[in-house]
Amino acid sequence: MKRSLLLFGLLAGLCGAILVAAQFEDEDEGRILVDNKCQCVRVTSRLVPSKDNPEVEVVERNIRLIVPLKNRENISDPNSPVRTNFVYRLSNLCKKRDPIELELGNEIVTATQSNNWDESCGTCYTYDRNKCYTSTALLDLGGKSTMVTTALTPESCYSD
Amino acid sequence: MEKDSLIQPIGQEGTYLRAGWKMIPLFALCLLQDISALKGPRLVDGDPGGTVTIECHYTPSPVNKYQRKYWCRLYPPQRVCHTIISSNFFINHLYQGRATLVDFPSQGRFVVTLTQLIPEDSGYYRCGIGPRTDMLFFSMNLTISTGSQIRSEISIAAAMAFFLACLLALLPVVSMKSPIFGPKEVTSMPGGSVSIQCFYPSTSVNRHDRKYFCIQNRRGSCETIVSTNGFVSEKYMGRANITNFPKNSSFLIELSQLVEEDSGLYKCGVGISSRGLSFDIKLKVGQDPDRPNNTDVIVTEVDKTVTINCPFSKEHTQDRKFLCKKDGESCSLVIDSLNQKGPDYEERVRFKISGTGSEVFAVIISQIKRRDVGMYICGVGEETVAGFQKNVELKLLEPEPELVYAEQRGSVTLNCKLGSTVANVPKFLCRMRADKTCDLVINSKGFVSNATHGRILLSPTNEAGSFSIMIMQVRKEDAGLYQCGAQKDGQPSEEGPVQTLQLFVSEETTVPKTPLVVKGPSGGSVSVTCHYNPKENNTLKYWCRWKSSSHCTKLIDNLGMVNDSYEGRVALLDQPQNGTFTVILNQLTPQDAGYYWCLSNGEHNRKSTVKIEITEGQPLLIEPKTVTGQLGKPLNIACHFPCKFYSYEKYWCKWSNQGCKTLASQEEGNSNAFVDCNQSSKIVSLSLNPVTRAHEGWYWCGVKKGQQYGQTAAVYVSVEEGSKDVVQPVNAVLNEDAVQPEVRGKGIEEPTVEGSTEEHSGSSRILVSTLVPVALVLIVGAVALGVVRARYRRFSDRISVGSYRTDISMSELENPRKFGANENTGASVQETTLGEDEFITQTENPEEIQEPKQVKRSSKEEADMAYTAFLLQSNNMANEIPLDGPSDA
Repeated sequence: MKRSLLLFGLLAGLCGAILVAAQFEDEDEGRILVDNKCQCVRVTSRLVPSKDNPEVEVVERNIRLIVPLKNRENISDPNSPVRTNFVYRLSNLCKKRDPIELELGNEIVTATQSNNWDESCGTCYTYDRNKCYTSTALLDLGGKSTMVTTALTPESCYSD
Repeated sequence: MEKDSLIQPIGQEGTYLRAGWKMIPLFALCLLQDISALKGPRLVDGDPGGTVTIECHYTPSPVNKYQRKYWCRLYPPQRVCHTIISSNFFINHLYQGRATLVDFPSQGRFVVTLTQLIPEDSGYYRCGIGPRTDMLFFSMNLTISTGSQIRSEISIAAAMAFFLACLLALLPVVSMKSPIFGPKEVTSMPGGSVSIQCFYPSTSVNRHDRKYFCIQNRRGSCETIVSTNGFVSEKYMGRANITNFPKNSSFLIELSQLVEEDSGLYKCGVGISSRGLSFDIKLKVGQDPDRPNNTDVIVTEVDKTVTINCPFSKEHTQDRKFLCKKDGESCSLVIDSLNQKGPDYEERVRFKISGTGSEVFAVIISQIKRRDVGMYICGVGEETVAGFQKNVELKLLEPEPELVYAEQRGSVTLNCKLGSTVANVPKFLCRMRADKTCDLVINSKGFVSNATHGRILLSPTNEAGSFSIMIMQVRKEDAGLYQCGAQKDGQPSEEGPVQTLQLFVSEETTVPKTPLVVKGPSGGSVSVTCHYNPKENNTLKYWCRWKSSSHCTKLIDNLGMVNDSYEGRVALLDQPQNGTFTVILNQLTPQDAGYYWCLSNGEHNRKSTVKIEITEGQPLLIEPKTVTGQLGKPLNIACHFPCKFYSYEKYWCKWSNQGCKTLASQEEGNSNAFVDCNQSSKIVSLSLNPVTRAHEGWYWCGVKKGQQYGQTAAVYVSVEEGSKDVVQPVNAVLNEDAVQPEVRGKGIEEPTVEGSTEEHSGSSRILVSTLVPVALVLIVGAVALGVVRARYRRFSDRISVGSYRTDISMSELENPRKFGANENTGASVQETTLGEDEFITQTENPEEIQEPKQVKRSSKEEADMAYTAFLLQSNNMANEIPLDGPSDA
């Protein structure tokens, strides 16, 4: 366990360096193939001159992972153990879930590329900024114990 | 399988290495600043005892290649730069053995290294080219971290990595392309103040989350200066302020009492500083460090006159004096004391020395142009680069570009205030390219660029000389620098007043996805969904058709206004619970193809645009186009829905300016009007019993799924006095018959079979099989005759009304659509007359076989029916016959 943690630590360190370095690469970031904010994965591709033949452009695919080491197994439950196991199924990530518009018989319909989004793919390793995460906590008030709902991400929980 | 799809950590590393992201050493992470000739790291960081390597890049021009390269240290307060090392083999004795300089002329760079660093090495340095240390250089700041804490951090690599990892655990989402936007560069004088506005996407979490302003340090992290949590760093206590403006989705940072040391790289952002939701800002306080010391700055405006004063010493009284404009490395002559002039300055420059004893000469340049901006050198002697010189920088008084924030797919309004002097001059908006040329986007003379066709509108505002440009359906490519101005020919020009705008397009968007194109068949209908903010009360919602660069013709609004020529064709249905309104347009014609805009008057409301395309093909819903009801008699109108709409809610409604009010309707079994779908098709009819004058008007039948409105078809009901001898009921049957010719072929067979089974209870199949072809031939013949006759009528410009023949001039009625309402008052007349003719041709039509339910019909009724058959058959033709005749046939 410890070894894997260290490995991830190193990996994250590497991520950090790349992230900082990547600030300079903004312009030629390329095309975003996958941007999974739930698992912090971004797959991009771009055309670069081939190493073998600089006159030919080849596709380079970059995978960026950010591993949130302090997050819990169940991000909505602060009492669950810290997550130490991060699984990334590239084949699943590459299934684009966001609907696209298609024209069928003069009518525009929306379709998604996949519909079998099973549970394991849906596991989030980090919070979605646009979602409100809550948990329940025991509140002792004047000898009375009540369960109250608490916000784990208060800034995301305003109803406006 | 499992192994393939799992990313192993080792594999990831490999991926990273392959990724091609440059592993820039930490010191080089500081901004690489772009100045014309020299580039290097702005901030350099070293550890005590360690080494720093500094690379300075220069344009590998012949002059640069062979000139002296140097690295010097700037000593305050005199700001003299003492050379440490140069490519002429000089090395300062204090740095003996510690500093090296290697030049790579072919690559246009030289590398300086400094070893055995000590804390005292912290300070300002310059790398440069030339014999002097104040001509061409690049300034940098070297910082030596203070010992112990750093050492413990770097002692164990793994610990370091872990530390970073912990930092990273705090960054759940790092977006490379941040949706935060602000000014790239802010300048101020010492003692002055700056206000920096930063924009964020208008989501709830962004409005409530912490906003911050931080200064980037050399370790890549950002130290907060001020945040909306109420924190102000000690150094900035009392002179930094941050205010959130959730309504504008922006926040404002104010910094005052600035000192030169405040220059540096900052970030404004939302959330926590390391998350990546931030924007990099460069703050410059005081003189541009890249600017040579003895530089005068002259700020002027276009068309004004400037005087440049140049001092010279007594011994040069007899020498040639000149002023030249710096152009990269060379300096092109403006004017000299021999009255030689640069080609561009021929008419507008004067050289002046007042008196012989004077030690100052003056150059007066009039009619300043935008291209005159830049560095000037005035000096004495033959050579333009030697001798005593003075630098003058000419600047134009131009406000910073106004920042405009837009969301992808959203809309944005660019406001231009050019002043009342150009109130009557054509206005333009152009987009700046990197080479300073400006591509015209739109002008008030009617030009619209292809990229913005149909989604841009220029409209003058109340203030004279001001106008606004609305861009809809903003795309990623729209981001950039724009310039609006006024010019006689409407073309971009350097002259005249201009205003610069910087448009940022956030890819993180809250704008709902709506179709860009909606298609409908000629004669059919389209429905367009528009979004608005239901929380903004009393909003005016309207729909307009984009005509040109500055016109969008309003067709309908939610207050009951309907464009005259669209009466009965368009409806706006408000659905405040969804925050949407739907606009339905039916009776489409090819002329309806174009761009349509959904607008609402709320300040932050969504605006959208849709392109309507007219396709070939038939409308899906079938119903009569016009129906005449007899006063006091019941009237039944049927609408045929194909099986495609089986699961949809079907409705009838009465059209009015306010929308379409749903009416009670009855389902009447399956329709025979459609090929291949007799089972799931439906007839839904509307009953008016008894018909009153109030029933006159437009009725629509349509489909709806949930809150989504679909296809519609319109029918106009006209009411006339009932004639005594007419048998009722009338129209329900008519319409069913009417659709049959439309079906033709296979479709005809079905009702026949149905009819025969009912009447003969399946006994005489032979009769059926003989009757079917006969009926078929007859119907086709009748239809053909009808068509021929109608054509004949059309071209002969004559219509018989009763026993009279009336000439009607067709040429007066170019667009029958426009006379929609009139068309129908006369419909009954035509129906009767045409019907009479048709009736004769159709006497042999074996109607009873097809419609056994209707046993008896008057001749008038059949005539009407036949006419309707013709009407539906030659749909377009019927629509094209404009009728204006008297109604008392």
